[in-house]
Amino acid sequence: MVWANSLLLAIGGLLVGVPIILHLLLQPKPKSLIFPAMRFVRENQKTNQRRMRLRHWLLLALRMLLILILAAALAGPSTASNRFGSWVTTGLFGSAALIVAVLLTATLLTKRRQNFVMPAILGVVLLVLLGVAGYSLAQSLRGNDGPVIGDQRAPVAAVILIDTSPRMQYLFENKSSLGRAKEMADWLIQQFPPESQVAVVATDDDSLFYSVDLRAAKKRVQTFGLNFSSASLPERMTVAYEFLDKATQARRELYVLTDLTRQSWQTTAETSLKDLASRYSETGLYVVDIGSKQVANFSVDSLQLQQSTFTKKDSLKIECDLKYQAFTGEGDAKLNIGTRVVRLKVEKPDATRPVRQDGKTLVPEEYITREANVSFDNQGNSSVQFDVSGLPEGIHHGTIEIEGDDGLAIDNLRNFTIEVKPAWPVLIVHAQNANTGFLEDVLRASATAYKATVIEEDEIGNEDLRQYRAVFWLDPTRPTDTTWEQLHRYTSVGGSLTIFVGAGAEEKKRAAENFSTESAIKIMPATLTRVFLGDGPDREVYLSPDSMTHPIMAAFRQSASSIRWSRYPVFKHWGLKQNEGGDDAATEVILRFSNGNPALVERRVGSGRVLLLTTPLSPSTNVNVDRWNDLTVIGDGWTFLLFRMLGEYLVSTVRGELNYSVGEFAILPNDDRYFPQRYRMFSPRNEDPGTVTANEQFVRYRFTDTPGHYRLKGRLEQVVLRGFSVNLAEKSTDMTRLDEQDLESLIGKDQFSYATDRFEVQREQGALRIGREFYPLLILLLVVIIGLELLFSNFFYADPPGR
Amino acid sequence: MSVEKYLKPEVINQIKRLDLRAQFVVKGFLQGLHASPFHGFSVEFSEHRRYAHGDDPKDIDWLVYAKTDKYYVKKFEAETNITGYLAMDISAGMDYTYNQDLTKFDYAICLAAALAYLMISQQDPVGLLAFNDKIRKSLPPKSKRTHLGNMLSMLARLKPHGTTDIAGSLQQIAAMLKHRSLVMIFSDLLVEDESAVEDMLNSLYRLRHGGHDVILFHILDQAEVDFPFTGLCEMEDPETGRKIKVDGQGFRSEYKKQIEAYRETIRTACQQTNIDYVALDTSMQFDKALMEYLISRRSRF
Repeated sequence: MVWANSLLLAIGGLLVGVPIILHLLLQPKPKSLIFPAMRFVRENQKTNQRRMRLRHWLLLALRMLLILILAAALAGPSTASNRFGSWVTTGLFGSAALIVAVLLTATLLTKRRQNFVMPAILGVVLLVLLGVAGYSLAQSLRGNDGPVIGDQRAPVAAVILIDTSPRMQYLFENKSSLGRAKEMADWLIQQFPPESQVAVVATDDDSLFYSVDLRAAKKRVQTFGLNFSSASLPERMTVAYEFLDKATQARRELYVLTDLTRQSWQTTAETSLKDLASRYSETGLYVVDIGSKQVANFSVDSLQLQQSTFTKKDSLKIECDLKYQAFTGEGDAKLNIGTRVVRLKVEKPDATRPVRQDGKTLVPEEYITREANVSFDNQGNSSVQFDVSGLPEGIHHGTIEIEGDDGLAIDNLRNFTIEVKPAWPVLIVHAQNANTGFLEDVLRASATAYKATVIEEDEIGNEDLRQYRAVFWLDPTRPTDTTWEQLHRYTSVGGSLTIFVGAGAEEKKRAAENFSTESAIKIMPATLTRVFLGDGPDREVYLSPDSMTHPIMAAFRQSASSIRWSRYPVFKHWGLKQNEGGDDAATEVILRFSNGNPALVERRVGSGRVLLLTTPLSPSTNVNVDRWNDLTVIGDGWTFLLFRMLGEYLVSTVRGELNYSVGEFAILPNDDRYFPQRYRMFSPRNEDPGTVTANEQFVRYRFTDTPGHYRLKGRLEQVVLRGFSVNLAEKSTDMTRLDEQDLESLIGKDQFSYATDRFEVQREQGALRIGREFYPLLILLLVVIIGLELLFSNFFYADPPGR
Repeated sequence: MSVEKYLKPEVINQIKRLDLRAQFVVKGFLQGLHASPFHGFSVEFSEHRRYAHGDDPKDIDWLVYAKTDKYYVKKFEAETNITGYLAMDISAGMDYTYNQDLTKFDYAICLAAALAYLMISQQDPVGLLAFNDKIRKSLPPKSKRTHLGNMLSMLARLKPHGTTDIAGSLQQIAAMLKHRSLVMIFSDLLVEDESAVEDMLNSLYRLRHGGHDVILFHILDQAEVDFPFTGLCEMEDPETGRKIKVDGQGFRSEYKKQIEAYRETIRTACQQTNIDYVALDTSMQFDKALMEYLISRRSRF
């Protein structure tokens, strides 16, 4: 027999004494009366007093029994086995039936035989009690497969799964959810019967094993800390279920200690929790909710950098989404929170930092700070933008932080890393007669800084293209397969190439064939067909944009209808057809001519891109050559703007991401001509720096499990500083909670036990672990006893008729 | 509102003067009789008849002789009168009520006064005897109207006290009465034990055998009949001062059986000796007792 709350039973046992004390000490004083007809009183006095005493004792016994049964019911008695439970029930109700039978006999033998109400009631009660006792006896005799009698403290095999996601750092009443989970786990371990096998595991932990003993399990709990790339609970539960399935113990239990946030329970696993729970229905699942029902949390939800690498001429543009979540446990709280300050901080590039000193990593000073006051809408959403220009060259680490206290501090800050370069190195390759003046003017007048190198196409083989951010190839003539291969290598690792085809392609008969060789079609967006002449009065066409969705066209979106593209006539242009065996989906037409032919086409090659303009941008210096277009005429400046946007689009391609989410593999390109092979890695974990070695032109780093700035310090001729930032995944600190109904739909009704505190855990353990609960039966018995007590007290002390 | 209401003890209790009480009770009673078989109880002459030999010449109605020249004698009601005695038990036990307006003694006084009034208004001589362990006070029977005042004033002055000895007192009364009389006994008949009951009944027989008519008004308090007590009670005998603890509810039925049996014993004994037994309790109206008297009187003539 197990008592869920033995303290209550003890208190109840003491309270049984109350009726006795009342009976012995507080006996009512008799009413003093004058009565002349004493002769008749005297004659029956002895019988009356004996009966009176008997009735008092009977009522006293019933009242004591009543308190005892009430205390026993509230103490939650139960047995480990059904069979044992049946025996106990038989005994309990059999005894009650015996008592009632004695009462019934006594009633029948008294002089009041003419009154049949009392015997009738007692008879019915006796029948009910005998019925329950008989049924229970039948069950006991039939037997079942439950554990044998006395097995209630049998050892269990248990897995305690603790959620260690960042949300568990939420502080409520000065205690984090993880702290609470650890306390609960500690207590749970204490409760297990001796010889139990307990495995303690966190959501980020792959190793699932039974601790040597309960003490070792308790120690293991204390080693758990937050993990920013935890697996979801359902995934870990699958492993835990399978693990428990192999246990030798008959009794298996899985405890999930969670804050019940929706994020923790999201799963992509094929097997649903419902299937899992029903498949392993013999394993008792306890979901212990240790989260706070009252939540107030600010977070910097996401951070978008327009680009993470730019030139000194550019400005840093950052946009952040902010979120405020508040729950009171009784529905959403009113989001009346006024304004909050959001602060941007950027570190100054400093060759002497980072450095380890006195067990700490010293980092460069912050030299730019910006503040903005933000207010939140009714849904708790807000956003903020920062625009910082004039950043010096180098790697910059920075943060965006929302100020003020809330329950979860970890998501109040986001990190970012940017790289400022002096200028974008670009290569202009031109045919012998091509004029590069217009393109050079465009690059010079651009908002970003370029460092242009101009070469003739014969020299391209000598160039190392990897150093250039973009390559412009003006009016190519006779491109060789070697050149195509070189360009293919360049673009497939992220290089950007724009080809302006013109007269060079038709200089020699069948020259266009050079643009459709096997090597050429690896990067050419399309195959050249023939030169089209315009069909206007002066045999011209002009640019006719039909879609403004491409980033190059962004500048024209506002004034698309007012631009007179006809002022920039195109007299000749190449026609295009799909490459043989090419993938149409990889090719996009950005701009068309007024006759519908493509003007500007883009194709992604590897991680790079290739753009093709079907008319040249270099008026030929050869007067004998026909004029192809007037795009280079300044005029209203629209074509100038178009090619400026094209240039900026090409260099904005981010090669080597500098910002990652926790758990992602960080990869930085590491050209061994410009970067060292070995770096010291200063991680945000405040540990001594380790060594990171570049391999195959890349630095790869996998331990991005903590948000913050990761700083690489190497030396080539001088100190080389590199780095990247790691942030929590977006929405990973969404504190929206599940309720019990959600859990039911997720796991299945009656497939789990839900508890929020120790008492509830005990109660649920009682219900699941233990064969039979006696609460309902005791309450039934209590009702019977109350009925008997009322019946007897009314019968004994009935008011005289007519009074 | 008729005067019948004065038959209720709780109403008559509001009237303090005993003569008025008696008057109201009787008037209330007579008004309630309507076409009563007892019509004509008054001091009227009942008939004339021819003088016959042996008649007392005093009775000759000379007025009739003057008119008719014949001798007639007139027969008056005085010839039908009986002498009544009101025998009041004034032991301490009579001064008891639990929750009624009148004590047993008050009730007995009211009833006795009403009967005295009734009798004297019919020119029946009525006397008064008050006893507890022996006869304590007495008033000889007379039928004059002034006698009523004396009767009532004595009744009003009676105070219950002492223990009771009904048997002894009745023997005394029997010895005292020379002529055939109607003895109306007002008592709760609560005696010590069975032997006392037997003595009491023997005394009643003796009184009856002495040629007297006896009406026994057995007056009990309603609480003595119904035993309405609840819970633990400590009861004290007002005459002996003895105390006993009993459980009210548990005792009720047993007690009621006992008291009923006691009443039944006395009723049976009275029936055997032609004694009129009237069981009363203090919650009952007075007319039951008065009616009993009238029936008894009628049966005698």
